[in-house]
Amino acid sequence: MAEMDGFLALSVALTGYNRAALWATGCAPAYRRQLAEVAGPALLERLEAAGFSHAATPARGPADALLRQTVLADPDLGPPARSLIQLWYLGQWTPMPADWVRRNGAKLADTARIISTRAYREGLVWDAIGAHPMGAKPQGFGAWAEEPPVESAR
Amino acid sequence: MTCLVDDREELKSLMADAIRIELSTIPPYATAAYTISEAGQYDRIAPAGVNAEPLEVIRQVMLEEMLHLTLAANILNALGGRVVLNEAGAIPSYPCHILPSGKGPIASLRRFTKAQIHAFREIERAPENFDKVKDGDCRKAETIGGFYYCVKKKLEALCRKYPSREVFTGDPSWQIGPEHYWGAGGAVFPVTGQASALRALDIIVEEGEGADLGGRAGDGDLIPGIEEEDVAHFFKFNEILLSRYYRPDDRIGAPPTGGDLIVDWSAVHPMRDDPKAEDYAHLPEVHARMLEFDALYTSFLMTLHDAFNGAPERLRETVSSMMKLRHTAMALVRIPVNEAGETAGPGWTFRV
Amino acid sequence: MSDVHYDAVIVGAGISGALIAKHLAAEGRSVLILEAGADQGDTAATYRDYLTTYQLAGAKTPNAPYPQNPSAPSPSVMDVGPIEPGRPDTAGYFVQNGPNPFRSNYTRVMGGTMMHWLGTCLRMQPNDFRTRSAFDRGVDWPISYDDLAPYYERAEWEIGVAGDKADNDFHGVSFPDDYDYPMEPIPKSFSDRWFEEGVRGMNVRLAGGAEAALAVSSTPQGRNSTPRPGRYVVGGEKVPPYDAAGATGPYAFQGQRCEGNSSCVPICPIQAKYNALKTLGQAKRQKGRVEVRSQSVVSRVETDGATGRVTGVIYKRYEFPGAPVWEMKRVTGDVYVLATNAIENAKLALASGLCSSSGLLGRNLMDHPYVMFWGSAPRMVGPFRGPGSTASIPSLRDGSFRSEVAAVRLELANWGWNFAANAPYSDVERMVEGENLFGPALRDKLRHDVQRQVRIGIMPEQLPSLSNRVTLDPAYRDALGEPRPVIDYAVDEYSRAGILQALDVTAEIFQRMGVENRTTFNTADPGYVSLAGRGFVYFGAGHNAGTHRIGLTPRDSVTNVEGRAWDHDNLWLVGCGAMPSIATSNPTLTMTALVLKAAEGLSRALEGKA
Repeated sequence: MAEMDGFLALSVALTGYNRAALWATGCAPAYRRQLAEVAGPALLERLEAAGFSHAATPARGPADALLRQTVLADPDLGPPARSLIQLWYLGQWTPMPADWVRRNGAKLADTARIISTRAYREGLVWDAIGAHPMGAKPQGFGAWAEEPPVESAR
Repeated sequence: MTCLVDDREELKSLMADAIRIELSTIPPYATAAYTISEAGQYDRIAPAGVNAEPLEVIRQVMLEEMLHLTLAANILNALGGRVVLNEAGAIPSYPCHILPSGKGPIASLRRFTKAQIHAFREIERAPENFDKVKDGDCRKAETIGGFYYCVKKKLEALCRKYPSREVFTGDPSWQIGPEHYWGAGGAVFPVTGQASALRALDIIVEEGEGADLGGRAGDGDLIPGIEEEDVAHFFKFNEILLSRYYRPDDRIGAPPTGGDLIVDWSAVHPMRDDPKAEDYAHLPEVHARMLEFDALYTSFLMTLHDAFNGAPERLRETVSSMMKLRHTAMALVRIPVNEAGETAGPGWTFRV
Repeated sequence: MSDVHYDAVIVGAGISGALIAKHLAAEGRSVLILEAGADQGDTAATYRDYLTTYQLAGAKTPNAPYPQNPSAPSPSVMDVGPIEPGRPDTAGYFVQNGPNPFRSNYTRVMGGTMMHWLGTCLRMQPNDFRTRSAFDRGVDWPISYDDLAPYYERAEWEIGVAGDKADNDFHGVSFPDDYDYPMEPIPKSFSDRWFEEGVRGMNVRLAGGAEAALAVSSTPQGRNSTPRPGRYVVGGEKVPPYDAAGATGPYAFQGQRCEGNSSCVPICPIQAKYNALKTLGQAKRQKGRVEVRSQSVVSRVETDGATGRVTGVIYKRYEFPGAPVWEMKRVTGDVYVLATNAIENAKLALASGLCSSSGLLGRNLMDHPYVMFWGSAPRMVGPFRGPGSTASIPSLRDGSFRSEVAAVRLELANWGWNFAANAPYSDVERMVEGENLFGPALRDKLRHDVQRQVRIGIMPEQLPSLSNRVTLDPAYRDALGEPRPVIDYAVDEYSRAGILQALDVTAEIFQRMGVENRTTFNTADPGYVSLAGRGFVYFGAGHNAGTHRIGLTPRDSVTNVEGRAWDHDNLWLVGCGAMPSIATSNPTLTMTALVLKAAEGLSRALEGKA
């Protein structure tokens, strides 16, 4: 479990979902593997370190600002971080841009694909938009007639 | 000598027990099903569904238990009784004995394991005989079949002694009908007299142990329900344990000889036994989610209570609550709670 | 070469073929169904495989769950590209001559295209059967609405339609007191009701000085809700209460009610939505013998030169989808039924030299050139929940304006901008890659934006036209050497004008309700067309119809009213191809009603035979 801490801290910062919610997808280990295979050990370590420091910074504003500077605006860390967000939200890996590939090399795992049927079903986007994955986790007969969910679930 | 009022009171109290019996099985069945981590095709070259069948089997059994619960509530309401599902005392907490005798099968919240499916099979096992209830005290029953056998005898006796309209004095508008409940495990019908009450009891037992209430189906008989492609629960659990479906000509006492039913006992989330929110106070995120589950379960029971107490149309609302319970539980069993990787789970605790 | 002789040989295991098989088998007939597609889909395991394929598919197109099978190829909505004059687009299965692309698809698989249908079960309206007389447009049908009404009732009970009579008795459609839909209506979605409130009291001006008051109506749908308990008179016959058909597979003894999986197109995970596998299953349980052979592509229908009667059917049985290896086989029957879709029926009949006397075979190909209009509502409306569409605005489906512009149905969509803009995928991508959002801000904005997505679909009528047609060209063949359909297609000014009128009305609705219009029409899209300087993009609706229309005489039609070919005494052509026009109704229900009529003709033809 402990080896997942850095990855989860990073993912919590990037997705806006807490650790329990990310574990609850059942996808965390597979996503870390995917990130590791594309980013490689050195970049993964830097990404996870950024996750730890985000978690260790009590004030959200400065923590997010630091994450933007050190990760999202970084030519090596930014693209995999943004793909990781999309992986969590859609269950689908977004390949690295050409510039990143020139800098870091092409990776076999860096293809556009839905990681697994579970990854599809557990995409955070469906919860975020107040719905359910199309073709899974149905809400029951007539649920579509009910009031929309409240503005923010948290 | 007894009188109508006393006899009916006894039956009402027995039907309240019946409701508790049916309710007590749903969370264990549901929990086991929700811990199955992978269901589907493992191998796309030789496609075969793995664990999809057990999941479907348990789901089906669970839905039928919901049907039985509803039929039992209809009987109780027809007798002029009151269903109580809105207080903690009426709701099982786990582990627990299923029967009021405190003997016989035990219900617990465990992940999908062979041992747990064995336990489920025991819950649904038909009685060897009805000796335990031969003195007419249904609460001494140590099997569900024995309990219902006894209840049915009492109901029949009551109906012999008194006219139906004096026995079934409940408000017919409280009855749950097919318009309120359809599409999950069978059709519900209103209980308005002796015939429908006995039919409801028969359905509850036939779909369970598959014993008919006159006595146990014996070795060599056809598997109960096989002709309708819906074998009794006992045999459904047997199919999972033996990784094989029954065929239409299979007999009781012999193993099933139908197609493969592929079970992967390892593709299961390692949920800790009998989860309770209180055990996870040190993990606030997990604790909050477990309380959220309990709140959903409580509100589900409250709605059910209302539906059985004069607002049958509210039964429809329980459909989406059941979906929410399922999704919330399936999320819980994926959350590790210790270094060994054991996971949280649904506590099914009534909290107000 | 020929093995067993059957009473009836049916080509195609979709709803048409399955219904005819069920009907004939109930009379004790022996029936063979030849299905080009692979696999069955009628076991729980294979059906689940469809679902797995769908979930893993990057592009969730209508055919995404179903096997891509070079031995029996299906067209895909992704194949459509630009067509230059004189240079057909051959990228997909179709050979598209244009001038406009034919954008619809179908599915060659057990159960047919309705595996991915939405489930909409609208009747055509009385005027739709007489547009020539009423509006001097299109053609009159050889039968009236009243003639077809009893068959509509039976079709609604075969499919198991959930509907509300009181909400659907407009434009001359009416229901007898002793009749009702077999199931209670599917509830309107929250956004349907929001639109219902919004357009209340709204009047719009239409072409030719006509006016219409807008209203929202719940859509009858082939999807399980709760069966009505009563006894009704269906097609003139008193019937027992409806018993809903469940899923196929081992746990299907009880029908399942719609759970709101929100993926009707392309696949209902629990088979609450009707599909033809249910009818196929029922057909097999009748007293007659029903045999279904999959992976059997009918190559040629043989006829006797002197009598015109069909003497046998040659088909290619392939063992492995995709491998160019097959075995030629032949079967015979007393009667033969082509029950594939409008395009494959025409293809097979053309390839076999059938039905040539009228010159109409393959002509009058129709679809609903579907246009989308979408926007951002001023409040949350709860999209991405429930069936794809549960209500529509039928107000523009009939009226005197039809002498000038096409009628349209305005379909209220429940899945936000999913079809229009690939939401919510595109929203995530835009916010992460473009708006540089992450964390709680991303999460909140997704809810804020997507919850406000609304969309209206414009479903215009397309008139029959001789030049919209299916032909064959020996130069274009598939992996089994079978001809690929060559398609000439154009969206005419009448449909375009109807779409433009509808775009004005939808813009007015958005204005009235404060919906921000977010519709964009890409001029580079192959479906971009215009009229009088105003352009839009149309898509296919999958409503392929009209290639072998029914009629009263051998001159003006390919078959008689019951689908019996004028040129071949023992041959029937059924399916959407039979429809002389399609108006604004999704065609499945009308097709099913016609199939039930054809089944009666087939029964009579087999009468007296032991």
